[in-house]
Amino acid sequence: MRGINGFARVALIMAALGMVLILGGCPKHENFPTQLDVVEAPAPSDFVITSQGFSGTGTYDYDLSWTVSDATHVDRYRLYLVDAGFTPELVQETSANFLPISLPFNAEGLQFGLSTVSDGSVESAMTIATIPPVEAP
Amino acid sequence: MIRGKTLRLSAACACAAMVLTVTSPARAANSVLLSALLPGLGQAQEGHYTKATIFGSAAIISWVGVFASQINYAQSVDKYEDEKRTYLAYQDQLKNGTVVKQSDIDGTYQAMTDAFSKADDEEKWRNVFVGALVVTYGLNLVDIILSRPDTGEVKEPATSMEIQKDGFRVVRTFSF
Repeated sequence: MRGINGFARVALIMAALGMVLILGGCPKHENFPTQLDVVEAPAPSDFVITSQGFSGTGTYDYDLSWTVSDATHVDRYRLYLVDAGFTPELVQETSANFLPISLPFNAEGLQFGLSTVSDGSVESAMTIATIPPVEAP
Repeated sequence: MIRGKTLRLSAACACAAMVLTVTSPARAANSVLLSALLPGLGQAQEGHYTKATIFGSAAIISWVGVFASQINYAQSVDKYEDEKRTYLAYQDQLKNGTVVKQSDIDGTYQAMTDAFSKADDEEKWRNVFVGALVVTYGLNLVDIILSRPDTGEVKEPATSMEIQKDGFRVVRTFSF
């Protein structure tokens, strides 16, 4: 085997350095973050809307009620107006498990969504309920 | 005297023949440089066209693979970094008391995990092509260095003088 002369050695070193530069210049995808330690609360269940009929003041009254499997970390509930085609709109926040509402129109078929907000500020998934027909007097 | 002239003439012819068949050091070095720039070029200069085609093709395929996989990998890393930034921002929002949807946190975490896995896969492909490129360059350089012709170091023929009865004789020795 012939010895490697100076020029060839320089060429080899240059090639090796080129490879190192290529590899060194590549971005990396390291430091995968640890999962956030969030305080969750379960989503409401048994979300029911009950029609209370047409009131004497000219409004349609409804009672909204729900339960939650574990209320330990529940801070409050959020009620949304839900309809196909637009983003759910926050209507009200409450810390009770019951909410009476009065509407100036017959809202039959309208949907409401309810979610929990934990004491760690994490909002659960939404549970949907539909307003039933007005009960006959 | 006539004998001395004949010898001198023979020596001149041998030198000329040697110069014609031996590659100069500059050309040999040039072959190595060409091969260092792009595998196969040095071999092509030396007339080894089959090797030149093999090394050249391997290098071009490897380079294209490196660039393509690098672009894909960089895009995956960018996507992962974006998702990671969004995910970590939730931490600050939660500390500030801003309500964050669990579905958003979970969705971003899933997207971040997916982007990380994709970046992992893309990195493996890029490393395969970089490895192929390194091997191609390495084999190519070893080949051009080991198989290149004599460096052409022309040694001055040894000269000796023999004293004889009727005069002297000059002898020049050549080695090839």
